[in-house]
Formats: sequence, structure tokens, C-alpha cells
Amino acid sequence: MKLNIKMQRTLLNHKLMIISSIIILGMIGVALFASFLAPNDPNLVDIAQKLHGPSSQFPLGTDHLGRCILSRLIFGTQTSLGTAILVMGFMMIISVPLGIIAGFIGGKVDYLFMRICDILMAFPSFLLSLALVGILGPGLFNLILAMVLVQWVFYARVIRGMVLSVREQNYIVAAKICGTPKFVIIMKHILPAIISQVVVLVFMDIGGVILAISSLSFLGLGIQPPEAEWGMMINDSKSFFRNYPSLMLYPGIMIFIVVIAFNLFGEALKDALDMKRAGGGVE
Amino acid sequence: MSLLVLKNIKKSFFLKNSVFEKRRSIEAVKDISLTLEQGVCLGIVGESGSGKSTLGKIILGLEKPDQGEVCFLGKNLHNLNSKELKELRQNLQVVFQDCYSAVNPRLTIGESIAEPLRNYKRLSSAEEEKQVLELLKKVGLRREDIHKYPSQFSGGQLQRINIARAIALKPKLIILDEAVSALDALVQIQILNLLAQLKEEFQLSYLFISHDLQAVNYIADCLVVMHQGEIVERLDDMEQLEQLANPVSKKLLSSVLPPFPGYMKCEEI
Repeated sequence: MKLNIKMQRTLLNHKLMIISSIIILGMIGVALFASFLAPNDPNLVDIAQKLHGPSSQFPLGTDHLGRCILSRLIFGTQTSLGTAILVMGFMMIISVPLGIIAGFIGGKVDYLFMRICDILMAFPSFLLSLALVGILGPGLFNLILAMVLVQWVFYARVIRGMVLSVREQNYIVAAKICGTPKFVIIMKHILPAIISQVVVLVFMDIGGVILAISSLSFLGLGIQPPEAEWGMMINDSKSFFRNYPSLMLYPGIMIFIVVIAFNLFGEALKDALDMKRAGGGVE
Repeated sequence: MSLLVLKNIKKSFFLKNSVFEKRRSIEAVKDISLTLEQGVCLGIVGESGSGKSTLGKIILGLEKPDQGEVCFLGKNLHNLNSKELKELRQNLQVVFQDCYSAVNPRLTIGESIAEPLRNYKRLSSAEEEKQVLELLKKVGLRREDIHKYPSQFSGGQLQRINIARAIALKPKLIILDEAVSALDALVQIQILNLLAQLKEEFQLSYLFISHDLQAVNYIADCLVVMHQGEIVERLDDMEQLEQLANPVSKKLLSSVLPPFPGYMKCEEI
């Protein structure tokens, strides 16, 4: 019975993983080939065509400035996903080395690192990003900067924890004793041991990053018009919500689908790796 | 010149590191002096918590003693720069109790065994493989095993792999920290025989840390008994094992299981 449940779970997981990865790959494809897929210029303003319903020229209709909604959604994939990947990438570039250094070297370096973390984590992170963008001024670059500067500590701390649990393994001690230099220990023993967990972490959290970017854009602090972005599209359409709710619905659905897909994929990945570890099988 | 000389080693650990509370500490090792000659196996026995593993860590240079010095090959181990220490480490290796965590599960055992060779010798990959194969043969494993992963081996085989890695650089001293304690009786004997044979072949010295007097008796040439961080008794001749006089030693002696329990009972009656 227990085995049965486990098998069902595995299968379910399998399905979730396939579906979510198809969605993610599809979204990435849409982002990459946006200029081929979009039927119209997303930034072309034509007041005469404003707030039209779906037609053959504008499959999802037009917004208050007569821009094609479908094209804007497609180009929005580019900005939203691209920004999220950039933010996540920069955060990893900062937090992976710092987390490993703090965890592996320990002592005073670790102490200093932890105190910096404490200070940064004492503030609510979204509010701090908000304040930072407010100070730096709105814009894509400042948005990325603000999010990276505030959020890297969380990842660095988690990675430090992973390193701490690996560091005490005998094979690391044995490597030290047989004269392996520290840098080689990190690259050969520590990094491979934590990298799968880091990948899971990235996929679990990228949905949150997309949401945060959209939220900041919705508040007018992120991506600036006329660039298409989902959060900003929602912001644009809020005055027409009563008469044209679809304007707000489409970008909302897009955000929902992408965030859910990333979360499910991360969750499935985590389960798959846990299963592998519990099985203790041949790698 | 003795291979290893310990002079008045002391080490305490702090239990609590709080701002408001007074720091409390326990003395893991209190004033230990030891000498180990080349080619000798010294057994260190004691109950768990008697400080024997801490002593091993101090000798390996993993922990710094609060007082005293460790002289290995005439040099103070804790007073060297990193280059000299690396040079000295060639001659000082270790085999741990937990054989499963002592090899990286993501590397083939060939890579694990080659690790010390890579750090000290510049070998071509063919030469490296030749040496690893030779080491595998020495510890009684097969040639094909070189490409396998640790999860494909049993505990006894893994301990052989750890021994192969430890002897790769032809060290002078190997610290065996409860190296056979996690293995079953039959495999224990096999590993002990292997160790004894390697000792002859390479003129190795062992520091055999264990709680098991029987295993120590099997391999060691001399013996010290530790209790609460102190050496309570020394024995230079293993023939006189029965004459250990200290209460702690006697307790350890009496805890050795008789080989034929039923037979013993009959005799007692």
C-alpha cells in the first residue's frame, strides 16, 4: 500500500514535471521568437483603434492606446522572463561564492557574513527593494540592482547552510589531510554536492521573482513605458477595469501560469532529487 | 629520532559561547606526552569520550592544542607555514571509522584514490592509472573496481579503498581512528591482516585508536589506556596484556567478549 502511494506520487510528479517543463520551455520559446510570433508592433499607438474587441487583425483586441494586446503579452514574456532570469543569475553570482566562502572558511569571516545577513534580513525584503528603487529612480537596471542587492542574502544564507552540512563529511576532511588545496576542495567536493539543491532553489523561487518584478512594475517602479511588461499592463488597464476587464485578465493569467509552472517544476525537481537520495541508488 | 613526539598536549573545548553566560569548558585532553618510533603500532584505547579521537585530530593538525607541541619528524606540526605543512602531510595520513562518508559518493574510487597523488606528484594520466591499479591490488580489490562508485561497495571494501588512499603517498604514519570498529568481526580480521601486512611492506607506523582491546591486541606493539583525557596506563609489551592494573584498563579488559562463551561457562563451573 505504501509502495503504491509512492508510485502514484512518482507518476503524478512525472506528469507535473512534464507539463510544467513544457509550459516553461514554451514561454522561453515565445520570449526568444517574440518578434516572429507577434502579429503587430506592440508599441504602435493608434488611438482610432482603441479598446477594440478581438478581431482578425488584433486576436485579443486592443488597449486604451490602440496597441495590440496579444503582441504586448508576447513581448511582455520577453521582459518578464528575461528580467527574472537576469535577477536570479546575478543573485546566484553573488550568493553562491559568498555562501560557500562563509560556510567553508567559517570563523570570523562567517561571523561577519552572518551579521551582515542579520542586518539586511531585519527589513522586509520587498519593502527594502521598493525603497531602493524609490531612491535610485525607476527603470529596468535599477529594478534589477535593487532586487539583487536586497535578496542575495537569503540565498547566500541557505547556500552557507548547505555547505556547513557537507563540510563535516569525512571525505572533505580526508581531502584536506591528503593535501588538496582549498580551492580544489570547493570545486571538486563542495560545489558538486550542493549544486542540485541550488538548482531546485532557483526554480522554486524564480516564480516569486517574476511576481516581484511584476508588482514593482505595477507600482510604476520597474519597467518603463512604452516597453511591454505584464505588471505594467495590469497597471495600465486598471482605469478601464469596469468596462474592459479582459485587459487586466490576460496579463494576470500569464503571470499566474508562469509562476505556477515554475513553482510546480521546482517542487517536482525537489521531490525527484529527494527520491534519488532516499533510494541511495547508483548515481 | 622518534617519528612522533607529543609533549604535554592540552586541549579544552568551550561548551557555551554566550555573551551573558560565563564560558564553561571541558578539558578533552589533559597533559598528554607520548613517543612513537618508526615502524611501531601504538594502540590508544579508552571509553568513548576519553579524548582519544581529539588526540588524533591534534596529531593530524585538524585541531590546535591549547598547550604543548606535536613534533612529527622533528618539526613542530602547529608551527609551520602552509607550504611546510603540506610537505609534512605527505607522511601523515588517516583512515576514519565511518568508511561510507570518507569517500565522495560522486567520484569513482579511482578518482578518490588518485586525489593524494594529484596533489603531490605530477603524473601523466596513464602513469596515474597504473599507480592506482597497483594500490587497488595492494589492498585486495580488483582492477575493474577503478571505475565504480562508492555505493557499489560494501563497508569492508570501502575501508580498503580508504586504506589505499592513505598509503598512496607512502606515508610514515597512519592514524587509524576506530578504523575497524564499524565492521563486522570477520571483515575486521581481514582488514587488520591487511594493515599488518602493509605495515611490514612499507615500514609504516600506526596510531591505532580504538575502544576495542581485542582489535588493539591483534595489531598493536604497545598500548596506552586513556581515561577522561589522561593516560592512565602504558604497556610496552602486548604479551603482558593480562597484567594491566588500572581499574579503567581492567574494565576494558573485562568487556572483551570471550571467543567461546559456552565453553568459558563450563570451565568456570
